[in-house]
Amino acid sequence: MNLLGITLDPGIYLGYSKNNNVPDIEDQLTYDESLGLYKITINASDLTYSEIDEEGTKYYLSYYKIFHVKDDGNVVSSSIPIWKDIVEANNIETITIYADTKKMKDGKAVGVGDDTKLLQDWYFAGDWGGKPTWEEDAVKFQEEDGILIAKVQKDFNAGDTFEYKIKPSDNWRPWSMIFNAEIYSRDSSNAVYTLKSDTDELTVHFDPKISFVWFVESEVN
Amino acid sequence: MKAKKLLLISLIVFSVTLFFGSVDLGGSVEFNLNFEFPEEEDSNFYSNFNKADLYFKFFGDGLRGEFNLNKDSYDNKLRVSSSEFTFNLNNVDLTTYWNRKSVSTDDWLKIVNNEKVGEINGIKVYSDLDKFGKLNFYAVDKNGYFFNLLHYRLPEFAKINTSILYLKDYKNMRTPKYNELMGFDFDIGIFEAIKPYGEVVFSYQQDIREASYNIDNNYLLFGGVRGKVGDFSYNFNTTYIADKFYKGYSPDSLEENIFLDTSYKNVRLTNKLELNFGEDNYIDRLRTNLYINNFELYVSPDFEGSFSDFNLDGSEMSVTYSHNLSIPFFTWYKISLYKQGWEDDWTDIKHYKPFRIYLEGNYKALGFSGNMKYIFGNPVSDEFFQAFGELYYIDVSRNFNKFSVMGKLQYIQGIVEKRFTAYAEVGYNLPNGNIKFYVGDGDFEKTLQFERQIGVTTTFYF
Repeated sequence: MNLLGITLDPGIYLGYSKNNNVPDIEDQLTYDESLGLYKITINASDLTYSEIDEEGTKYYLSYYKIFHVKDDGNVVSSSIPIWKDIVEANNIETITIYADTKKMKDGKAVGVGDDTKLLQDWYFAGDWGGKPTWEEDAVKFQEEDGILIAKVQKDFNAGDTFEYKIKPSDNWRPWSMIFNAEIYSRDSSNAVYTLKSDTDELTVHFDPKISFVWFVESEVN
Repeated sequence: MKAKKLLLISLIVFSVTLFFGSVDLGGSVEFNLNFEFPEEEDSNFYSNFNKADLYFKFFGDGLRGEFNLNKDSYDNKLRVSSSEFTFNLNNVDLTTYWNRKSVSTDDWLKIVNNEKVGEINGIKVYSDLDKFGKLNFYAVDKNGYFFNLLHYRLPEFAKINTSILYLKDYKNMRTPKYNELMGFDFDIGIFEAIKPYGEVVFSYQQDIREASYNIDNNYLLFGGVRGKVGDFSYNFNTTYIADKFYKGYSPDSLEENIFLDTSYKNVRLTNKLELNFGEDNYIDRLRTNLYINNFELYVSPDFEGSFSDFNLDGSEMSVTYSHNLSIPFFTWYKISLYKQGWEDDWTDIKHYKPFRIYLEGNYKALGFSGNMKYIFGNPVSDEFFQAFGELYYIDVSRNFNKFSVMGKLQYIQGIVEKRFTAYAEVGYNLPNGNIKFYVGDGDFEKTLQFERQIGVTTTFYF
């Protein structure tokens, strides 16, 4: 069953405010071999923002999603927000949206993102033993070659698990941009990471251009 | 060291025994265990019991309390995650908090907000001084900050109500910044037709080394008047916030606006003008709601700075009607239409600016009852499905003697994507409690796709 008989030929499409969430041929992403990603560049002035009222405080977000239409089952990302404040503060004229079709999961943001997300501060918050860092002392990500890095120093044992989330600002706002390694949402559950080895330093990598999180456990000598 | 520990444990056991032995207690214990089916095969079985919560509540003569035991996500041990105990002594209530969000005030603006203060450990003293008013005093630890709050409500005098509040926090010399907030609110209820009310608050951050007490532009003014004449009632107020007012502990909803609410019999009209006061006032938008019985009209013109900058594309409008029915099967329905902006060409619905058609109904038949919903729009929801699509929802529930069953389904059809989720629970009532088994996650706004989890919740009353 298709909504209003809308059909799309196989391809990778962007649905956003300019096309009223209904993509057409001109909204297709193209493959960039040097990056190994699909991408599309749009004009920031083409975006319209929804007013999201988070218990009295208003945030202006413009949502988009990526449709990967293919014969063996479509994969469609969850809705991903672009924050107006970041676009305006950096005088952004064009925004590039990326998709890694190998990483994309149906209904999740994983594998899809954009370049505005590198221009804001993100924080790694969680409860890995000791004082939880949900409210205070969350680790601020630092950029290294387009990837955001946060380090957690602690004696971990293989099999330890902990819960975490990635905060879009020190005070969690806008809640609608809180990332749990799967979706951007104000009320998703915490992400869980299980340690693979004994280590005293865990490095969290976050690539916001494709909303992808991975961990590196440093070897203990 | 060991002797000390033993002494401490004996002391705890002794006080708990004394405590529970001396008073006649009532209360409840709730236990929840949740199992999530893993996506990855190598994850360990035990860690998928991702939730194990025990809620313990009791009340007795002169005291009440509650605490939660949760499985710690890090080392899987059960520990007390939060607690609250209140002891009543004549005119004084003493409350102790452990990891609780419980600091708030009840002035007009509710200027100290428990979400903003966050979790605290400490005590509160509440005392009802009868002819001398009421007093709330908090002395708590907030993330290493020593946090004090005093809120004193004076005795009512000639229908005039007033209260004063004072807040201060402080950490140490390494973080010599502290916050101070002083407030005063009043409500003059002498004349039914004209009741003035308002609040003045100063709030600022200071550095203890400077201690300059510079309070320029650190204030807020809130004031208005309300009243009633026959069937007509009104309420008018304005909020002005100076540039450097420190909002750290105040509700996020605190914004500048002019508000007017009038009602006559079944007709109510509210207007809220959202703006920023300044040399050039920035007019953001007006929100007007008209209620007549079961009918509601919402109109919100968007002004980008001034009334002459009216922006039709950002303006919103909706009409809503709901009605109780006395026909078989359907017992109630609601219909709502929403549109943002205006279309130049109404022919292709795929290219409309945001719109939504919302239908909802309650039904009852053969002992079953429930609710159903249909939404068609772009976006379907501002919160959970920011895209073009249709949403179908139905729930059903029924009680059989001691059993209760409930199930619900949701299906969203987007342009090419489909999202389906379901939840079901069966409950059984015991003489002193109940037990409930469930499948899935019942919070459909949180998870649009079915969650592979099962769980059990038991509650016992004593």
